[in-house]
Amino acid sequence: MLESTSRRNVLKFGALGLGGLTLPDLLRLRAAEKAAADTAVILLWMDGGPTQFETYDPKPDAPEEYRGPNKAIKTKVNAVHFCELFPKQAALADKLAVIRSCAHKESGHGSAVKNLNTGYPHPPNTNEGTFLYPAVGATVAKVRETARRKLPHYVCVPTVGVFKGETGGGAYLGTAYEPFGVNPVDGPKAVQVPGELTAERLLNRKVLLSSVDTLRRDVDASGALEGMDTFTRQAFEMVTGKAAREALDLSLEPARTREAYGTGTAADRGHSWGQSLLLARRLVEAGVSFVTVGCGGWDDHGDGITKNLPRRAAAFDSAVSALIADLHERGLNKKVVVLAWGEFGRTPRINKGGRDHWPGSMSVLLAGGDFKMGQVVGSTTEKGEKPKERPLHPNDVLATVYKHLGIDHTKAFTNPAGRPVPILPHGEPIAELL
Amino acid sequence: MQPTGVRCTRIAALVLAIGFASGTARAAAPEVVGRGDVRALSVFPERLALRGSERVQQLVVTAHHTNGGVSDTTARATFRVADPAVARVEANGLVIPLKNGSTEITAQAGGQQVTVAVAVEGVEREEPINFANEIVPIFTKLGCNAGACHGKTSGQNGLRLSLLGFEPQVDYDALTREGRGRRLFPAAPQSSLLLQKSTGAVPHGGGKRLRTDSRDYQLLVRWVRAGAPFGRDSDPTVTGIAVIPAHRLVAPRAGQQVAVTAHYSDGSQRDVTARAEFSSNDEELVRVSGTGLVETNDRPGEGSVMVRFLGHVGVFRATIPQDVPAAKMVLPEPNDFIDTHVFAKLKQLGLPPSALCSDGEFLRRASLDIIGTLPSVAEAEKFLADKNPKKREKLIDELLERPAYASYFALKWGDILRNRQKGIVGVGGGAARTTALHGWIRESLAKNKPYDQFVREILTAKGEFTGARAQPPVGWYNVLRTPEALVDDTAQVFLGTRIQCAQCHHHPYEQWSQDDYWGLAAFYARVQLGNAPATGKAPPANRNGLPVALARQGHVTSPQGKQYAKPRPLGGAELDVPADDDPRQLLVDWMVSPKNPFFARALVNRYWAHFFGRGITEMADDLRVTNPPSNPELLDALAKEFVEHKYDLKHLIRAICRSRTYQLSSDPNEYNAKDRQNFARFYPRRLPAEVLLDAIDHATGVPTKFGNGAAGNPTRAIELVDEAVKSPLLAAFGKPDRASACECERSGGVTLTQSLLLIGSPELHNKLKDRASRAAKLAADTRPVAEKVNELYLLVYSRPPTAEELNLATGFLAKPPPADAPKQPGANTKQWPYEDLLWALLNSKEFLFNH
Repeated sequence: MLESTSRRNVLKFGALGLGGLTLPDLLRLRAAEKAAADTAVILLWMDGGPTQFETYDPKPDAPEEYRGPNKAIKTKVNAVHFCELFPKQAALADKLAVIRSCAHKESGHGSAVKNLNTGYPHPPNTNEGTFLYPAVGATVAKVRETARRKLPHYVCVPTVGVFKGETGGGAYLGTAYEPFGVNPVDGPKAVQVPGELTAERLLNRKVLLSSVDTLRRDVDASGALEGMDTFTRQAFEMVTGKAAREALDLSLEPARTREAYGTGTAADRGHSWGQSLLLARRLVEAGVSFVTVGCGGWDDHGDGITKNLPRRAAAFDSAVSALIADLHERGLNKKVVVLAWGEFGRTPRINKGGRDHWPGSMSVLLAGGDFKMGQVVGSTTEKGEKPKERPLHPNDVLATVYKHLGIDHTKAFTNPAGRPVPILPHGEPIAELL
Repeated sequence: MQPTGVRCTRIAALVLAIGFASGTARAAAPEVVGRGDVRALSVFPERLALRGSERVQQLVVTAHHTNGGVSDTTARATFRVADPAVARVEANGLVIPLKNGSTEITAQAGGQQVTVAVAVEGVEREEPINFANEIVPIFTKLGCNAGACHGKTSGQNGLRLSLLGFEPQVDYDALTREGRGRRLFPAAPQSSLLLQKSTGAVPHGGGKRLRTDSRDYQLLVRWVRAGAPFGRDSDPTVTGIAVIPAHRLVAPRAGQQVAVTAHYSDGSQRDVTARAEFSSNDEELVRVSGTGLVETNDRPGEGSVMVRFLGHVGVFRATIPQDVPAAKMVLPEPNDFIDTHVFAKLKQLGLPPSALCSDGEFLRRASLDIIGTLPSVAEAEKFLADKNPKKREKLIDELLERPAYASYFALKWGDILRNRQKGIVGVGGGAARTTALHGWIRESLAKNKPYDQFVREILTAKGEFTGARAQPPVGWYNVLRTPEALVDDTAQVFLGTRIQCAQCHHHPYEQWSQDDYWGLAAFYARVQLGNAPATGKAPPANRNGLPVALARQGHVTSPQGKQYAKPRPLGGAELDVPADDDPRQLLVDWMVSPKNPFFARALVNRYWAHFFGRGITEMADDLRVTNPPSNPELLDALAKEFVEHKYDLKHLIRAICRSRTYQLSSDPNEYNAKDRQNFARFYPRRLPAEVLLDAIDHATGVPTKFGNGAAGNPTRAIELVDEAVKSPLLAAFGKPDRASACECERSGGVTLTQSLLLIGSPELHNKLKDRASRAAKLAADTRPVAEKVNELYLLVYSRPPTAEELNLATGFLAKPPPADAPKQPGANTKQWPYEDLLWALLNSKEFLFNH
């Protein structure tokens, strides 16, 4: 039984490493995951920590120094209000779910970013440190590594320029699970080879390689040689075939769609979130499992709330609402979950036109999948200081995301010190959404 | 704290287990697997005395065959009880008492039978139940207190149990005092939430774990009805467990029932097979059921099963031989003691070794493994032409004297000692510190400093990392910074023991408790980084590095501890260290003592893994009782050799590389293709990131420039000082970030990103097309094409091309440029064929793998 079920699989991924998970564990995990293999997640990482008051949890009845300069507006869902800075999302609130009662305890960027992207606490002030645990996308890539796709499983579209690992990678699972970085400006360049490598020359090389590459494959019971053959084929497909290049090529979108998502403005640092999200949609359509899109810049101290936030919020509102509408139009909304959040919320009381770090309450946007949309989960106190109903931890959000991906978050991978580390240390899928 | 006497026994048992899993079982074990006719049966135990209602006994029935071997026949035997009213036997051989009296059980199999006398008494007596001894194991076995369930720190749906039941008092309070008293109803035990949930009578997130007709259920009911007692302080506690048998030769696709006996502090013992936990260390070799039935797969090797009961661990080892015709089981003459032990194991397992590898393969393999460098064309030509029968030994000696040996192993030790610019709490910078430590490592290796001295200088470092009286190993303290991190790395790096679990709770697969962990931490309690104690709470923000000092006082306490931990080595006695002495010296004294069961074994296993791609114990830094080596005698012999030669690292490498075992071909024969454990052939592995980049530079003739952040002005990737280097190729091929002490952080796997880089990255392409590149030179070279192809093959594979390969390459080089080549006059298509041929060779497995 063991032999018959696993022999081929051993050959297939033996070399890729099990990350400490025993083979049967991994097989079970993958079998369970198979049913949901066609699911994907787009994570909008709102680096800096977005305000909850000027987004999804306005407090129009709170004293002025708490409620801030903006008004609350009605949404498509009865009795649910958003801040007036998000009119487009308000109009399609029936396609969204908002969690208002999320809270944690880490108020420094460095650690909080790591905690929310991995589900594990990191030591304080790890601004320059390393992620000690794998990011969600890396875990997904690990679990799905045998499912061959035309593109990598974990892709990252950075906030600015080249991706620097802001939201985490493989940690102890290995560098193999780091995200593949792309951006809307360079697009297909990510899989472009130098001009001298013409199509015919690449084909010549491929043929030549197959004849000089004579090492017996059976010298390696671990499967690394076969694995490399598979990846070589796949990589040739990516650089010579159309699928990857086209997935990355935004010029193939109608101008109308590109405009709906929003083209770059100074508000999003000249690097359009709209175009990044459009790229993300093309990527999940082409089979990518987890796309992180950097939508950073929400650290609104000083006069941030009054001065910088409105333009940024408008760009974000356009981009997100265009993405949600587009996913529905294309029938992708069940397959793709969109998660938008940052590392924490912001202080209830305005401090000179800005708000400071506040992990005590934060709002989270979640849309798509088989989850129940058009609702708000939980609430905060009158001044938005802490959860009132249904207090939730960020790990509950992550557990919900894993649920969508069909991954059992209680399963463990072994870290390099030999300790089994569950995918999440705690957290339950949010019942109201199921 | 346990009495020292107990500890001594434990450590003695440990030494035995790390070396020989069980001396007695081994001595008694037959040389062959039992096959054919059965001449007699025997049974364990030889007689049964079951006292009290809860006692049961697992029988193990063994068939003795006419060929001299034995086999387990428990599952196939039929059991007959002379007086069925006294006891019954379940199909798996579990005896359950029914009423007081005496009878006999007869087991029949293979035309033979054996009889065992049974005495049952006190069945009617409901003996008092001890919560920790009897109830907690049920939770463990059912998985209730697992880390993924109620055992995690936050509990599960309101119920929190201690992880794997290591804190019975916590579990007892949770059940009896929390949950508004609904968890237990002594008046109506079956209505207790505990039983309702676990049987699935009311919805339970963990599903139905327990059947109402099981003995576990009945015991839980009886315990609740009795008022849920905790037990008395005077109740006996478990002092150890024994697994019977401890070792057997088992045929492929066969079974072996094991029995587990617990020994108690009052001298009593009882069968706990049904309550013990079993797990296989390698499911490709053996599987095990919850009742202790081990089943072998169809591949030969050393399988092992970890057994746990109430914090005590044991192991069953199955040696699984395959049938191989005697004529095929040819063993070459051993070169040294290594071969003697490896070949003995191969003979036992029926795994004929592969042939000797070719000279070209050996040259390439030894060069890559000892100096991390491909041989040059001249070296290859010279070695292939050399007629000296001792040329392989000569090569090993020469390689060990090359500066690249020290560079390559300094890279390895830089990974292990985590010589990185980023501290664990995020202090960046520090190139001066990493460069100093790297230089010290390199020099130590070049001088062949004895390993015990090398380790002592690291562990006892103090002062500054640069300057006249510098002790560069203080860099190690700068990265680790806390007593906990120092304990974790000390144990894992130098003792091959992963002790991290015991920081917060008793180690689930090991003997180590929190006392052991914090006893080790106490050796580092007085270490000061800069002027602050190494607590890790407030790292001084010095971007380069800090001096290390030793305070006269300093303490550590375990999270649950009420008093300061005293320095105590693993398995040793507490030490009183005067303020004038450095406790770390005493720690090293203990480590480097020839009697230390861990120190030498950890190092030889690590080095073995370097040369063979896997340790004799795998993972290489995970030596523990429950993870036995595939060849214990080999591990012992290597450790002994290493100690006897005064921890001489070069001597160890010489011994390993001279062995026939290291010189076996990677080509499998008819019988050893599935072997991944016993070194019947060489296991190929992908070149490590730095070695690969250097090999590409060497082949293309265009060196990489490591400006930009790389400390110490390296000219080659194997000379890189620390982790701070920007290279997509090094990152994709798994150069570690040095975030952990485990060499497993260096990924040897293959990925899509690697393939993308090899196919079309500018990094590689620019090297191929460079005007000074190999391709450019060869294109301009007027020698005959065959000579040039010959050179390319020697350069990349350390062997000349075969006639067929020569033909193929010559044909390719004569082809016109592709039709879609750029037509502009500047396009340098003349060297394209050479670029393409070299590209193909660099993308071949024969280049990318050490084989």
